[in-house]
Amino acid sequence: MKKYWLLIPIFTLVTAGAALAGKAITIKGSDTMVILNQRWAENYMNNHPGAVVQVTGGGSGVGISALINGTTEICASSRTMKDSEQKKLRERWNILGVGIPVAKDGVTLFLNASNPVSELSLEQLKNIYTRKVKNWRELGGPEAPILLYGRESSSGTYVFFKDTVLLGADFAPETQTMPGTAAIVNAVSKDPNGIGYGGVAYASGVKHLKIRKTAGAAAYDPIQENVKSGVYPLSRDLFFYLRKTPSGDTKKFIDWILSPAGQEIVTKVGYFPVK
Amino acid sequence: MKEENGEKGHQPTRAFAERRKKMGFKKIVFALPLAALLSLPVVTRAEEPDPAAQQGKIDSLDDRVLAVESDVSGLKKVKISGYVQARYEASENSKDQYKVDANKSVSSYLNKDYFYIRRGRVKVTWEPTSLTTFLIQIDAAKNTITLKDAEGSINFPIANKYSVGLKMGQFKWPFSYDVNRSSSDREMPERALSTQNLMPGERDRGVQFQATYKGLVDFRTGLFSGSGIQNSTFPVIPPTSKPTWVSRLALDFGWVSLAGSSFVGPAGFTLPADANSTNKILRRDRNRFGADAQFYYELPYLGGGRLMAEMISGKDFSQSLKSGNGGYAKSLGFQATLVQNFLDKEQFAFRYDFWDPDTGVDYNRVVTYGLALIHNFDGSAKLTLAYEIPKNEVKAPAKDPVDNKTTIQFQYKF
Amino acid sequence: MKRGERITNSILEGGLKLSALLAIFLIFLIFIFIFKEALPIFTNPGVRSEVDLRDLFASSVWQPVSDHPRFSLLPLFLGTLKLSLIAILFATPLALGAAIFTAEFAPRALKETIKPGIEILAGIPSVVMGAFALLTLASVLQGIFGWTMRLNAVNAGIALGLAIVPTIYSVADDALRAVPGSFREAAYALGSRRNQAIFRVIIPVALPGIFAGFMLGLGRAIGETMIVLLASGNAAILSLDPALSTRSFSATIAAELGEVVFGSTHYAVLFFIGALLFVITFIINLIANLVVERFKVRLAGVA
Repeated sequence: MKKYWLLIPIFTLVTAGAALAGKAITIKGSDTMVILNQRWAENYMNNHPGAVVQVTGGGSGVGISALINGTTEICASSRTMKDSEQKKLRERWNILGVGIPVAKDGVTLFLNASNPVSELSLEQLKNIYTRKVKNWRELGGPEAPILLYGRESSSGTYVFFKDTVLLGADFAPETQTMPGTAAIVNAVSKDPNGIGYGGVAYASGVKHLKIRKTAGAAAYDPIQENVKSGVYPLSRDLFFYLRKTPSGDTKKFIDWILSPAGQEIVTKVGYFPVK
Repeated sequence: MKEENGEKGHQPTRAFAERRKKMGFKKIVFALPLAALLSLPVVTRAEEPDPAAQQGKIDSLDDRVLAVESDVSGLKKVKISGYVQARYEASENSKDQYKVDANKSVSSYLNKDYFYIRRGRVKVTWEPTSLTTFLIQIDAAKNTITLKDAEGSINFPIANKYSVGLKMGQFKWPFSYDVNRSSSDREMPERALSTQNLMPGERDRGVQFQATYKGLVDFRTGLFSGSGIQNSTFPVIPPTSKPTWVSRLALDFGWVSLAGSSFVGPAGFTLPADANSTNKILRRDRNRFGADAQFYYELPYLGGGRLMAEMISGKDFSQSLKSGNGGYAKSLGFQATLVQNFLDKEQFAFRYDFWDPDTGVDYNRVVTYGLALIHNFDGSAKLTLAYEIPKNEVKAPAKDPVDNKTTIQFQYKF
Repeated sequence: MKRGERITNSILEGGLKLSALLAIFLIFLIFIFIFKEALPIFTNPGVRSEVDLRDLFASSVWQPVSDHPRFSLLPLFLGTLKLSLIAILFATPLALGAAIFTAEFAPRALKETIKPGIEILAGIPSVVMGAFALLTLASVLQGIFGWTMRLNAVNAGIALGLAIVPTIYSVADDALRAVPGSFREAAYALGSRRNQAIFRVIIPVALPGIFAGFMLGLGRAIGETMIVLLASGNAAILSLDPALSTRSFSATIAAELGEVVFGSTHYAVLFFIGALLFVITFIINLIANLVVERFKVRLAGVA
């Protein structure tokens, strides 16, 4: 009688022992979120001695493959997972992925306080930033040229705006680029014909444009309730995807991210909090 | 220094004015590199992330990646993948035992204490456009290379939600979850007995229509030769002129998926030559029906798990059961597998596998209990340790043969 | 000399020599680094397929992050030129006037106030200067001239000019003071009045030194980053109009290098711009240096 089955408890003990050994929390994925993740990691490690959080970028798609391959514990994604990705994940991990919204990415449009225009549709915004529309008169404003302000190409807001508003088209070369949302707000507050976009929900001295998804739809203010409920068209959720409901150190980390301390960093980096 | 001394010596009376002038000049001399540096504050900043290490990496990658890039853009449409399963099998039985199948012939010897390559698959996929796919899969585990899949398909997406497509060639029957699940994903070493017996080889030649709605509905239906690639007559068309109609409708809700399958068509048999030296051909009904369900859940701390169950019934004509006009055997198979992930690397699986080759005959059922532990090294390598206990239903005083089996398998997927 | 003293001396000399060589070596390394990163534009087929030298200088659009990226340096070059020209036009008269005043006219007490005052100007961080131009100066200028674009080349150019005034001033001041007293005495002896002595004798003699200051200021204006980034609007418009928003080389590097993908075409182009800046400032500084050298020889020779 061969006692090969004895291998089973040995195997179990060895592998279980290896699995229980502590290790670092790894986050991989979205380039949009990489700065945010970094800040979270730094702050968390400062406040929790002994914790190790490793952050890498590469893009949402890369992060999701890493989640499926088991090479990262947390995948940071600026989009929801596709059906095909979910099924791949399910084949190996028997789960569709635990998605946790950790922040909101959004764009607010600023106008000078003296500008009578108060709502625009996404299509109109696209025309403005590609210079198909050059005068405020065409949008119900005064007879004055439209002056464009935007972010530098290195910012996530630039990419988000290009993807969702311009639908991939290029910004007009006349767009004046500013090194930060604060600089844009300042410029627009001083410039009666200016329009600018940025990442922070509220800024003083400028008017916040209401956005309509399509020409006939209702227009929404970029206030937190609208961003939270998702009716404001220029916002999207930023996710953490995991292979199981977080537990242990990972749960502590994610709980901290969703706590006021973690969400404060979201605001600092220029995104909207989810809580 | 020397020059300065010389100058001083030459015009000692100008020492004061000279010194003042020199100070101004020195300032400029210092200002020059400083200005050059100041004028490039950003460029120098790029040096920050450990220049030496970063540089080497970037250089080698840069050269390699960019040089290959133009070639790759053409080759991108071709994807080569595959997997290898190396296995050690050990059975707890005496060396002279062998297994007898439903037709009472020796189907396999049970004294399998040996190493072998279970599968050596290479798959080449070519996607010349976003709509079309060509695929060839071969198996090189044995000394001969066998063709597993060879298919061309075309798919039209409609409004991002629907898609319809057509597939032709040699590929898996759209029947049963167990059949269509890749062996590289399966937890147990082999498919359930019912699948092995009713859908041998899993593949056939034919044409198939497919329609999907989002990830939710997947309907496939097609016409096939019917014999399957493991039939001794394959690829010669069996002596039936009628194709077999195979269909499967699957609904996937994410946490649970349900499906029903059907397989309907005749099977042909060549009778021994009669007095006129002509072979008579018998065409008899054959069908299989199947239903399967997968349910996914999560245990706190441990991770995801799934319960999958499947039932297949079959109706086959058997010459050996009754000679001449013969009779039909009705078979029934049921399998249920529980898979539980254990943290990041481990998986645990338990399978109950029931197989009755002929419900009309007693003492031929087999129930196999299988247990598998899987260690995933990473996304591509895994080690499986499985222990299977077949319980053969026997008529007293015969005893259930000793045929428990341990399988150790290493799989590498690329 | 005692033996110990000699050893101390040689150690000291060796150390100083080493630090001097090290400084040169480091600058050389930086130089190599920048050029190496820019090299793929000339050598790498992948990069060259996306951008070649003709695209860099002949086309007109700078749009590095796009489905069809375009890397024309022309609008950036024009922008840099516009900005530094405006800056130098604004700064030179101011700095020169101040230098002549403090060197020749100002009473001692006033001189002691003006000189440190201007040097404090040099101490203002360029970020502060940029913010000042962004928030205040731009509005003032727009109020006066009524330009459509609030942030433009003139706005940034003036702020830039303010930043380079101390550079030009201190070099010009030094040059004026370095003119030997004998020149003045000779002029007075020939019967010239004070003004005549200053404008006909002293300034012409100091002119090469003043020119060197001017060149150094120009070098700094071309390389200055933060002010331009904040105050110029950074739109890469191909135009000579100083009332339009302008993007410069240095601001482009500052804005885009932070997030650029390592080894990409965009990355190589940014380093190419860096190398270009390096060469330009190097040439300008070289000219300044040569001129000063000549000035020195001339003063010595005349005497």
